[in-house]
Amino acid sequence: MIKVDKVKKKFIKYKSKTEKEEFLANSNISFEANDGEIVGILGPNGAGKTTLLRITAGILEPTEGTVTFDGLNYKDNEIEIKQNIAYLSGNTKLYDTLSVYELLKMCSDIYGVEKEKAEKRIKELTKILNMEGFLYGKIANLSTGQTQRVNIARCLVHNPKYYILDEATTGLDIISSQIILDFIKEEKKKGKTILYSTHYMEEAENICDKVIMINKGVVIKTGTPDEIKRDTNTTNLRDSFFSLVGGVSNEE
Amino acid sequence: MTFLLTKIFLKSSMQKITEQNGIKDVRKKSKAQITLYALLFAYLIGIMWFLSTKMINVLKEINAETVFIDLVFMMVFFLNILQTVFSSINLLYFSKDTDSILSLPLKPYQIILARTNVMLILEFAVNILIGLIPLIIYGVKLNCNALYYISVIIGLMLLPILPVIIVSLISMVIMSFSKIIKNKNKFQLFTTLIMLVLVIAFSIGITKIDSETMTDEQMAQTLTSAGSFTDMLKTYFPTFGFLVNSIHSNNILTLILETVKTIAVTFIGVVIYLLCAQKLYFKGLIGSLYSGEKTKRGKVKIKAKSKRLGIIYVFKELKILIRNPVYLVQCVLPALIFPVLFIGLIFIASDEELKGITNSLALMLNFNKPLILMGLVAIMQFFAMFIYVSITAISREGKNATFIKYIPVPLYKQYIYKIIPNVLMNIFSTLIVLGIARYLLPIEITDLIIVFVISILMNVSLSMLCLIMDLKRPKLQWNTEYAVVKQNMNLIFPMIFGTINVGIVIFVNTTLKMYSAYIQLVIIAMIYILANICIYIYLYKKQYELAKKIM
Repeated sequence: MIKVDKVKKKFIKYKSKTEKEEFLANSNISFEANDGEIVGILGPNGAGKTTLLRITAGILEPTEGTVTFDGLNYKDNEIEIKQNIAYLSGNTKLYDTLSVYELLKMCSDIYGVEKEKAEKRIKELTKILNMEGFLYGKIANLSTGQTQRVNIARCLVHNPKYYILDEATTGLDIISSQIILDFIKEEKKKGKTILYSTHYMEEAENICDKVIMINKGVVIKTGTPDEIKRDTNTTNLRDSFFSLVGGVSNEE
Repeated sequence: MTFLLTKIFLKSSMQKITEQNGIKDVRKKSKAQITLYALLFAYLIGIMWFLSTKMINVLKEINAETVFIDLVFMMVFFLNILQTVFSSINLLYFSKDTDSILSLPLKPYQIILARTNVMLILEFAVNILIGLIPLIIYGVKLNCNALYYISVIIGLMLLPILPVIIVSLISMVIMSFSKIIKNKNKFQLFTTLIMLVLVIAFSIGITKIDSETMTDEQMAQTLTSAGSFTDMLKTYFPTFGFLVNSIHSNNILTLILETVKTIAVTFIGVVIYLLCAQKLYFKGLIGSLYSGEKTKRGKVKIKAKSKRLGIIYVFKELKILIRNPVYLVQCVLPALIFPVLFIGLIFIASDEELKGITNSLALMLNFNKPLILMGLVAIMQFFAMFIYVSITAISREGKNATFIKYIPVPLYKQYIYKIIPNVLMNIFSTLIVLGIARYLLPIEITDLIIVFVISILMNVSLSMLCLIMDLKRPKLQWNTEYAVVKQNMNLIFPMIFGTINVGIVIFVNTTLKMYSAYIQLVIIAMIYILANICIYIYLYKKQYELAKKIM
């Protein structure tokens, strides 16, 4: 179980060379994600989803609050937690001069996966994520969809327990998106805990068991997709969101 | 339009404005930072002052102080050529904005001129830092008048134009064959290496050509006199001669005449360059845009050995450094090229001269062993200044730098793994220098081993300090690797730390000259062992704080 408790993250924003002001990217965010559950972090661009997931993945330190994984916190069990995390951020090409196979092998080595197990896992992920055609090709030459599948594979090569996926399908075509979404659903069945951020409301509605809606760094609603729709008297999460923010999303 | 385009290209290559988390990051330097930079700059000037003064005094004794101007100009000139070799292909062909620029209604010469201007601006920056300061010191020491300073400034401004256009033209010729090259990365590396070989061959070639037309005596005279070397350069680069002459003359009329001649030759050069470039540049450019590497399926042999994490990590760092042509050329090759050039300079000397040098060094070794051993340490520190592995270790990761924060490897360990490639590069260059020393001098192996160990100790501290600087000022928002290894102000730090190391060696050697070489070396070793322990503790204790800018 991932438990996020009263997490707050403050940043300094420079208005000009001399003028600065503090702003809260996340304000008192709390939620729990249980084993075998997909929790969707929903919100428009700039809502604070990425900051929240980066705090959860141990990349950023919260200004206040704690994040625990089955009771373990980063302060005392950093390496143990990271050993069990899969963190995926956007669509980036990590080490693009390597081949896909080399990247996956390197990641399994870093995570200390035994050679035979690593080979088996790479083979398994290659099949599931449909990467047979470019396993030995350079990452630099892959399409957006292929790159994202490789990113997912390298995050999961060590068979982690917790998945933190930040906008895993953004910018992908429907085939690549579907491959990734099907894969996430399958992993859920294996009892993995999945945090899944997206700004595609329909996607969240399809795969998430629970949804945390964020706007301007604040949680505006938590619940199952059905509960949220019922409470807001709407038929889909998109309308629910607009109903909760009063019709206009994230004005700057 | 060309001016505007230059401004855009320069801005995009400098990438000064970074956007993080949707916030415009206006870099704000604290007073402490500004003070630190001011102190470091003052130190750099101090060292330059010290070295320049020494050189001027030595030359003054034989009434040849004006040779100093030739030496500075020669150094700047070769630096301009070397820098353009590295930058021309990247700026002309591998800028990310190439395809969008081509679709704009611009005239071909405007694009070419703007790209060339960017290269020239980079060269001017080098000339100001490397050339102007020693020449100002010269002017102050010899009470030169305002005319001297004016001619120096004109000289440093006009000097790089011809080398830049010649090197750019060579790169365009090579790139115009790009249609036959399918692999863009390997091709980029290949062409840069070819260019480098050409430049080295060219500089050695000048000497060789002259050795065939001159007697041994004349040759010896030419090589022993830096002023004569200027004559050789004048033949191939007339503007070099005009500009140096204008400074030497200290006469307003000569200055005007030589400047006009320089401008005229440069203008003809630019016109020829533009005419040829319009034919060559776009041919190669379009070729390079559509020559993406084909994905190929190959078999990767799986190694049976179980590897330790450190080895895996360092191996990964090395693999990325070597496979990426930009990183290879800018970070790895300097470790080998500069010592190799050093060897080249020794081997182009005549037998008698080599014997002369060897004899005088051997004599000095008998009478002043500390000076020779410390000199070796200082030379190796000089080469260490051009290895940019550690100073770009974090920035090279770019937007993916967060990787180091979510993998289950303690940050301080990753920091150490990241400096190892830099130390390895240093080991290569150190071995080359020590090999030359052993060839030239009757130095005992024990002495060489001691010097080697001390150099490595110094390089470990230099590498760790460079990594700390990169962690404190990472350049993570970039579109092209070129921005990390060229347009990155952090690259000044290896030079600063290397200069500090050289300064410490000189200081110890000067203050402890009454003691034996070994005592001096042991003291330096102690200083650096202590420094390394302190820096390591700092890295360990501040591991999280140092990584704060990676997010």
